[in-house]
Amino acid sequence: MNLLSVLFKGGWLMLPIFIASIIAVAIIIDRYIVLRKSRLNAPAFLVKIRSLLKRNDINGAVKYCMEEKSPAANIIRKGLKKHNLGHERVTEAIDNAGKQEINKLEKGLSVLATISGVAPLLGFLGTVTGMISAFMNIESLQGAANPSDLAGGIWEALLTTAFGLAVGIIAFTAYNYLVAAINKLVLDMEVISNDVIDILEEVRTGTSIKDDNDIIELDR
Amino acid sequence: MKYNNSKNSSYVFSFGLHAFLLLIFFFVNFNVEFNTEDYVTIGFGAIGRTGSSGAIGKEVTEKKNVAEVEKQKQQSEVENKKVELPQVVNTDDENKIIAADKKKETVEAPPQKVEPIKETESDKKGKEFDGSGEGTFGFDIDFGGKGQRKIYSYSLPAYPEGVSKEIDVKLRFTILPDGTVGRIIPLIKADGRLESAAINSLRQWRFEPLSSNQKQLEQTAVITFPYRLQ
Repeated sequence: MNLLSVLFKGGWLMLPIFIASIIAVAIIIDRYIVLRKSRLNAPAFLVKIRSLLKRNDINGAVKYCMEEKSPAANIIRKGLKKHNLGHERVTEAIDNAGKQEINKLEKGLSVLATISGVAPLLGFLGTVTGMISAFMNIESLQGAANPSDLAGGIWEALLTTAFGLAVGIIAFTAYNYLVAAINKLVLDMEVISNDVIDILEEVRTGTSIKDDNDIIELDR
Repeated sequence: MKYNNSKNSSYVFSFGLHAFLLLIFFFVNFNVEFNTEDYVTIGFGAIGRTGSSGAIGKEVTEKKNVAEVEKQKQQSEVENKKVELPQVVNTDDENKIIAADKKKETVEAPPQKVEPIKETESDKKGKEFDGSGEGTFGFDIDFGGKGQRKIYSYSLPAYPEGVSKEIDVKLRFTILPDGTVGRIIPLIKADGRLESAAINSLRQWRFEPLSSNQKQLEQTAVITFPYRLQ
């Protein structure tokens, strides 16, 4: 008896759990790749942006942001494009772009959270249906059922539960990891966007608000 | 934005990963191997008691002869009775003279009844059957509470002629994984003829083969053949 035939003994409820598993793994892979690509060396990025902005090279800064291809750079690019419209419009643009980027980063996570909750429930549903079939067997055999008569229902009950829990555990762990990673990324984005707004204000007013050494404190 | 275009490829990858896992599952055998008890105790017949040792079992070869002999005896007895009864019935119904008929009955009856009794006594003295034809033979195979090794076929030993002993022949033997009997070692030194009869019959025993889930071990068992005179 191979493992595949063991899985088939789980009954029809194994199918939705299996589909949920495919979707969950796809979302996990997708979000992991997105998060890896979204990483940005914040101190180096800020140093470069600061040097460009201090030279009043807004176009150079926008080009640099386009080269970086990360959500933070995307936010700054959108803010810099509104440079001529004043400080408030820049801040507003950065806020809006930040919300959009967070929304993009969190795309699919709600589905992953749903799967992490629903997959174990599907497993428990399999337990109930398996037990129902086992008890129906007992009734049809008028109580003279031996363990092998009940094995089918018990197989279904245990396998769906095990498979559902396995999918749920993987999905829940990955969800928490991804949420933590996204939170860290969002925090970095906020810090970078605040710094860029400050730099723009410095350039506009000609005063020095922040020391360069502060940027290095941003550890990644 | 390149960092947001990995969705389709991740679904393809996920599907491929699951297909690969299912393929692995197809080739991975799932067998829960459980240990077999390597020592089996077999209780056979009425051990430690004298006298009758049980009834007809389901044995294959040797038992048939005994059963046939018994059938023949029963048939001969029945035939004798069939001959007797009509005579009695006829005399009662037709002839009402009581004295004459009673004499005939008393004269005719004794020789017919005596003959079979003499035969059976001589048979018993000469052949000395073991008690395998009567009572119950219990096959108690103890697997230490972890299942049973079923007996597929067995043959009971015939009581060898010329031996008049009531002993328990105790044999230790190994049951091979395929269900055949391996080495046989007598535990108690008794009569050689009884031992060889028991060993020869034990060689023909077949047990349930071990399933593929079980460890393929030789199991040791001890069997006791109680030879009883009747």
